[in-house]
Order: sequence, then structure tokens, then C-alpha cells
Amino acid sequence: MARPLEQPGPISLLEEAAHLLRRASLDALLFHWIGSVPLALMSLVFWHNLTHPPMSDLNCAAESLAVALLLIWMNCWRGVFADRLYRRIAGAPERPWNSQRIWRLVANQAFLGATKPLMLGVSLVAVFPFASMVAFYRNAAALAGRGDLDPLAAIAKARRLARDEGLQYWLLQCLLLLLSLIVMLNVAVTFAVLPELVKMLTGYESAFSRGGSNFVLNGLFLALVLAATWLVVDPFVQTVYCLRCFQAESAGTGDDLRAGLRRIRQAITTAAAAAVVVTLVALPVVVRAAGAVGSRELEQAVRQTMQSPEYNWRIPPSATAASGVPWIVVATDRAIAAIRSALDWAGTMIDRLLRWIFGGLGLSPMPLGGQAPAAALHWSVWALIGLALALVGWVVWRALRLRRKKHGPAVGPSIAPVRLDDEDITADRLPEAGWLELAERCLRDGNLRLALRAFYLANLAWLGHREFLLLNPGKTNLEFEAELRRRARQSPEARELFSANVRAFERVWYGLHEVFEEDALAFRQRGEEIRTRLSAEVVA
Amino acid sequence: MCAACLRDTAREASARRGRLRRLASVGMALAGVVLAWAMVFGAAQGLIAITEHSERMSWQGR
Repeated sequence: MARPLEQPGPISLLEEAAHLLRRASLDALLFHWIGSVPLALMSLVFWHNLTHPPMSDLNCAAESLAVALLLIWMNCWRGVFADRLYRRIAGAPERPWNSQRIWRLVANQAFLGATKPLMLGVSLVAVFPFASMVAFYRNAAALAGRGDLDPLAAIAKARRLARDEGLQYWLLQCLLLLLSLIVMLNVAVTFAVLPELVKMLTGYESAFSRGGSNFVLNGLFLALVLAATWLVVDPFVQTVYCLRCFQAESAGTGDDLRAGLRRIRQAITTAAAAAVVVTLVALPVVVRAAGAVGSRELEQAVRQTMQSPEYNWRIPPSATAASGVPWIVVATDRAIAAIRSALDWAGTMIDRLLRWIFGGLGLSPMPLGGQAPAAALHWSVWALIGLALALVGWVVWRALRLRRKKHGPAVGPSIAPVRLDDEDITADRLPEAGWLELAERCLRDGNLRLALRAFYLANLAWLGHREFLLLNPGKTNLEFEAELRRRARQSPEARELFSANVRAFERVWYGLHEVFEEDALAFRQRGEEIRTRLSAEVVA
Repeated sequence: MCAACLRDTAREASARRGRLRRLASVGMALAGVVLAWAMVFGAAQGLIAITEHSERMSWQGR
């Protein structure tokens, strides 16, 4: 029976493409790389120049033009590569490149090569048309090299061929993306270990091996890996789409049948030639051998051969052997059967429960026509609903209670855990008001040394809050002074006052000088003045 | 209309179409070069702006 016509799946398409690319001659691949390698190198140089400014606008424009021209150059050579593959698939002979054909290729690929990044970006944002858009550009590359289609006709045909099989194109995209990621990983690992490998094998130490991990962390490394991955993967991707384009076109033209017949004819011709040669060479030998061996000897030799162990497969297997299923298969079957019966049992129980609720007590799950829904429910269902509502109410009550506990009575400013004599204390532990409150408390208690420290920390907290200082436990008072000098350039008085406070604080805290109440009050006064002056500066 | 007139009309129409197609090819090639240039140049300017901005931000963060 004849097989129905069907398109091959994405996996078999990829396999066929890999096979085709392997069979393709090296010059087909070289055609691709003639176009793609200069573009990749120029893009890397351009990227490096862009990410290492300064770069003048003139240079930028010149290099952009070079990249744009190389982009068109690459697209043209990709068209040549695709045409080669297309002809190989179709089994068609090569056609000479005349000026008209070259011009058509250049016009088509210049336009499509320029619009491709733009259109792919737009379609990627819109998501749905992305796969078809990729297929359109790849089909156009496959059709551009054909001399019989002018650019507009090639574009129209590529669009027509890319319109169908949207799902297949998406599957292809996913598989190709996965493949590209794997290749990229391979390329990255290869590039990363290459300098060390060269050093190990040859002893040659390069700048790359000296760089260590910096070589990999460099932004250009990623660009290099991407470029190399593209050089490796792009020929394969184009091959896949060439094949797909050929299949789609053949659905209307029957080119695949023609190609198949051509291959069969070629194979028959080759086989016939080989058969003639073999016959001519082997016939005298066979005739001589037939004359040399008698029929009885031949019969005996055949029987002996048939009894050799190589032909045991001809003996029918014994009944015990046939029924001897391996134990692992039996165990798996039993496990599956047990799981299935457990699921059946659970299903039956759920069914019985539902029947008990809705139907087992003489009630239907749906209210009867013309009957109020409430009258159709059994008291037990009402009980269940009541239970569920009670449960929900209890959960809500618990949640509210917990929240009330969390937001319970405010405990005032959290000054209790702060120990002013702690050496590791930092100004950002409390807001300014908190430090001032602590300072006032110490002042009342007569602990002037701690009061001075609290005033100083209040000072720092306020400056940190207003972003005059960046509070950091590692900074010294001298660094705070320097920072304020830098950030409050417009207010020299505030800087002087802060310096006076720093000196007063250090004398008392580190120098163990005695501190009097008027010193502490003067300290507080200076702090307030700093605030006033810097606030005025901010407003100004 | 006689056969000769029909042939002449068809030839004229096909010649006009051919001229238009040639013109379209030239336009496509030129548009391709200009568009590609503009696109690469725009992308480059964007990249320069991003690089400068990120450097400025990292300097300020320091």
C-alpha cells in the first residue's frame, strides 16, 4: 500500500540536514565562511572600539558603514551557499554565474539582509510571527541565488513558502536554540581552557594564560564566543531551512519526486556498470569452480554448514523458553497493575462519596426544575457548608488576632538595646531623635561623657540622613571631616563647627579629658547650628 | 485587434514591467545599504551612550 504524503517532523528534518551538510563539499561551507568570517571579525573589532571610548562620530560612521557592507557581503555569500545546497538536494546541475544572476542576488540580499535584524526584533516583541519571519528570511536566502527569479518574485515566493507549518517552525526554532546553546557552551569551554592547554602542552605562556579568570570575565570573551558559535551553527541552520524550503516547494512542483527519480536512475546506471564489471571478472572463476566440485560433495558441504551453531536460529524455540519472561518485566507489570488498582479504588471511593452527598440519599446533584436550590440539598450538605464556614471564620479570627499582636502597643523609640559605651556602635543604629533623647537622658543622669557621645552620634546620624556623609563603620572621624569638607563646600562655618565637635568628642572619648556640663551644652549648641546652616544651604 | 497589434502591446507591457523591475532592484540594493548603515550606526550610538552612562554611574557610586 502506498504511504500517505506527509511532511517530516522537525527531528527528522534536523537529521536529514546534518546528513546533507556532511555530504556537501567543503567549498559549499567555504562559500559561507567567505562571507561570515569577515563580518564576525569586523563586528568584534567594532564592538571593542565601541566599548572602549573615546570614539569620534566620524570613526563610528566609517566603521558602521564597513559593518553594514560586510553584513550585505555575508548575506550574498550565504545565498550562494544556500543555492549550492538547494541544487544538491534537487539534484539539479550547477548554473553559471552571469552578471544578471549576481545582480539579482545582491539586490535581494542587500535589502533583506538590512531589514532582517529590524524585522526579527519587531517580530520577537510580537512573539507570534517570529518563527515564520525567520523562515521567510531563510527561504529568501535559499531562493536568492536562483537566476530564474527576480528579487521581488523571490521575496513573494519565500513569503508564500513560509506561511504554512507555523507549529513546525516553532519546534524547529526551539530545537535549533537548544543546539545553539550546547554549541555555545562547548565553544566557551574550549576558548576558556585553550590558553592553559597550550601552556601545558607547549610551555608557551600568552597574555591570555597570564590573565587567568580575567580572560573569561572580559566582555569581549562573550562576544568572541557568540561570534564563533554563530560561525559554527549558521551553516547548519541555513541547511535546515533549505531543506524545508525545498520540501514546501516540492509539494506544488513535485521536484522531490524528480530528484528521487534522478537519484534512482543514477544508482541503476552505477549498479549496472558495476554488475557488468563483476560478471566479466567473476564468471570464469565461477565456471571453473562449478566444474571442479561434484554434486555429492556440494550437498555434504551444505548439510555440514547448516548444522553449524551459526544457524541455530532456524531451530524453533522450546515452549519453556518462550514463556520465560524476565523477572524485571513481571515486577514492573505487577507494580503498574497495583498502582492502577489503587487509583481505581481511590476513584471509586470519591465517586461513592459524591454519590452519598448528592445522589445516594435520593437527591440529584442539580436542583430539580422549578424547585428552589435550597430544598434540593440534604441537611448533611448544609452541615458541611456550616463546618467549612466556621473553619474559614476561625482562620480569619486567628489571622486578625496575630496581626493585632504584631501591631500591639507601640514600645516607644527603640533606645533600650543601644549601649552608648559600646565601641562598635554606629550612628545609623538610631535616627537623630533617638540619639538626642539618649543624650538628654545621660545629661539628666550626669553621665556627661556618654551624653557627648550621643550628641556626636546624633550629629552624624543627621548628616548621614541628609546625605552629607556616607555612614560606614570603617570610616574614621578624620574621614568624616574630609567628606563633609568635600560635600558642604558652600558652608565653611558648618565645617568648622563639625571639626570643633570632632575635636571635643575625641578629647573626651579617647583622651579621657574631663567633661563639664557647659562643654556638653556647647557641643549640643554646635550640633544645632550645623543643622541650621546646612539646612539653609540645602534650601538655597 | 489583430494578432500583430496584440503582440506589440504585450511586448510593450513586458518591456515596461522589465524596466520597473530593474528600477526596483536598484532601489532595493541602495535602500539595503542605507538602511543597514543607519541601523548599525544607530545601534553603535546607543551602545556608546549605554557604556558612557554605566561608567558615569559606577564612578558616582564610587
